Amino acid sequence: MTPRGLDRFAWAWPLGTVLALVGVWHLLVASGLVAGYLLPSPGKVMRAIARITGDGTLVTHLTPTLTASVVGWACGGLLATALAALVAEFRWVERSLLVHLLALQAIPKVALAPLVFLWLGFDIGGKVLLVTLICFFPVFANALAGFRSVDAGLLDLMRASGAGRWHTWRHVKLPATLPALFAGLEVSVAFALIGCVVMEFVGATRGLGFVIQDASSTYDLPLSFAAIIVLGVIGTAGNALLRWARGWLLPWERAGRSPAPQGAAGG
Amino acid sequence: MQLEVDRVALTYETSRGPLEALRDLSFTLDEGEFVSVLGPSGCGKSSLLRLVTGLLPPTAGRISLAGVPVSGPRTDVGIVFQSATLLPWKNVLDNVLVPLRARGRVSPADAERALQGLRTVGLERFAKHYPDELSGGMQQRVGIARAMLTDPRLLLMDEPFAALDAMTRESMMDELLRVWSGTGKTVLFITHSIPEAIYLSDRVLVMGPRPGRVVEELRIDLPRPRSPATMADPRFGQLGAQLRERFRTMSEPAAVGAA
Amino acid sequence: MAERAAVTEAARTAAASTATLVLMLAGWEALVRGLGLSAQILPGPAAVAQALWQGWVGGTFWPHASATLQGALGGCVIGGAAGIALGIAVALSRRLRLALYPVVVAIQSMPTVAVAPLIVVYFGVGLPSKLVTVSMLCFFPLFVNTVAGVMAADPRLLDLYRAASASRWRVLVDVQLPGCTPSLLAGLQVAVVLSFIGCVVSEFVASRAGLGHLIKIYANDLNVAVMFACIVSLAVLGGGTGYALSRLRDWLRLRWRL
Repeated sequence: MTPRGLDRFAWAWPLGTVLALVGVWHLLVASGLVAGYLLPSPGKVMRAIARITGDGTLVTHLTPTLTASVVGWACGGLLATALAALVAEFRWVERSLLVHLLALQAIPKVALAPLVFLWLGFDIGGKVLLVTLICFFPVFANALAGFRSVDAGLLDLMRASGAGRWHTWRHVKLPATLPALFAGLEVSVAFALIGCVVMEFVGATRGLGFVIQDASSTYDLPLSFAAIIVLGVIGTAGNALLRWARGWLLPWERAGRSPAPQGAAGG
Repeated sequence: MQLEVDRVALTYETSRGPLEALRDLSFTLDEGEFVSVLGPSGCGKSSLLRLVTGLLPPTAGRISLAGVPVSGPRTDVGIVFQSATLLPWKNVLDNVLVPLRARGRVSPADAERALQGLRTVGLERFAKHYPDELSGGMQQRVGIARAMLTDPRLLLMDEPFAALDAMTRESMMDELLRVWSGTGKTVLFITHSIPEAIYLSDRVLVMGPRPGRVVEELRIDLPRPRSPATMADPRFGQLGAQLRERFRTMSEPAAVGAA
Repeated sequence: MAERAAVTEAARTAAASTATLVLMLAGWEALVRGLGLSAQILPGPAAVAQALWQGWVGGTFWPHASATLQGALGGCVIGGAAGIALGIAVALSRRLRLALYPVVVAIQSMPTVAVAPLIVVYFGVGLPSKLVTVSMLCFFPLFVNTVAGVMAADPRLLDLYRAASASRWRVLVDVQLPGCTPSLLAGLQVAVVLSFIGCVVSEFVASRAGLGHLIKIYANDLNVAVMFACIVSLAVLGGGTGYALSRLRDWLRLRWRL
């Protein structure tokens, strides 16, 4: 029994919350309760966003961040899927490698940032490497779980029909793993951005992370806020995009489940 | 305790518009009667249960217990669900005590009563065990002991044996009759099994498909106490055939206008 | 029969893993010696082992490990508690849920650590910044999982309690809270991992102590061996905490059926 009307406009509530929060923010600054230099007003932040969009600063810094994140995410995902497939398929691979992979999982990948910086400098190579490393584990864990949980009945059917290893993998195991794989990829989107941003904190001359770090240290708070918001929008958009893609590619899987935190492997 | 359901209707509000679960449902249970409600899936049997326990107000009509209209949750009604619905983190004895604990402190006298209840269903040895150590049938027996703890005059049972295997089901039926007989309690027993309904009850009410209402009433004139021999009684088969026929005509497409 | 097979399998795994490990370490050492790589690019395993020894047995790592642990676990507790509290509130109130849940989930997909420099501006260099950053990170998994856990309570148990006219509080304590424990603990497991990430990032941005801080200073010195040692130490700390947590989960499940 739903109270009438509450369901139909369900989207209005979160929107209302956001508007209310922005409103409170504005009031805090406008009323002078919080000093303007401590907390820039929403207006100032919006103007900062408009400014960097207009004068090209946004593009200059958005591009490296976006590129590195996407490329690293894709590489990490691909590598993870390949390795997970091998571990799931060949016993000897599992026996030799899995323990070590799990041990490596314990390393907080962000801690590698200065090391990567020493090796590859502050250009895109370093960012891609760190993002790849950080995205590897969530996807690997999910993909492995997926490959291992393929319906045994289906596999028996394939064996009984005389299907070869590759054929079975391509037509049964891979499609069956796609939902879990996608879940891992979705989780990794946030991690990808984190990896890229951290890399930019540690050493970079371009990128949104750099902007945040630089703006903060020079107390240009509106700019810092602006960059953070842009980053946030990208993160949300990326996730939404992936969820849409999942619904389109895997129509037999009901999308729209609440993102219950996975056993997300150490980032 | 007498249960009177008088022209009860129940309509749910869903995001897709109103859903009529029950319409013009009327029947009466006399004190001490064992009555089964038989009906196809989705006919509103579970809604009926929530109405009688006072968890839900009817959209129309009235439900009265011992002449008094039901206006809220009742403590003199015991419920047994389809699956035992025990708290997995509490032991068997604490589970039996749930109806009392839910309302506050539990006295040693209450605990003794709970133990007695377990004795009645033959599970007193398992008082300190946890639900996951018990079989499905045993869990249901705990559920029954729990329902009987407050010595309710009306027992509501919602397909309590549906989740059990066939053999356990048969022994549970005898178990239930043993526990019930002589107590004078009124029992409203919901099921979708025809043999179960006939074996256990004094009367069988057949509910039609949604929106649910009583479409047939059958008096079970088999002698008590019932036993496995009762199932061999030719009358058992006749009653079963009658009910089966009623179900068959119910599920036939209503090609001839209103059913 | 099955037991013997399991033992054999474990033995084979141990053998294969150890062999791989030995091979990799040997290969690593050979690579470094063979290519004559300076310790500033890639130190050999021996150099890393020495750095670890100096750090832990020699004692230089202890204050920094302590600083990182304080930041990570402290922030995890604060953020986690907030997440659980708000999670319970949201799970119990339909309006709160409609208003807040989508917002929280949306924020979750944003890279929260990105605000670390801003946090340092507001809270200064040191423990408070770490605590704030980590709390923000650890809030989300616990919030989402608490909501899921509380809402997953068996509706028939809830009916039973309502039929017995139990108070809202009673229902919460007897049914909803114990029921959400598995979900909550799963969230905690995720939060612990995130806590170390958050703390290290905060230390990178600005700090005076901590293993992340050490990594950064030694990067300036080009002392990669110590950096490796710090990274390994972080892994052990994080892994150890995670392991302790999973033992706790097992104990709760076995002893308290939670």
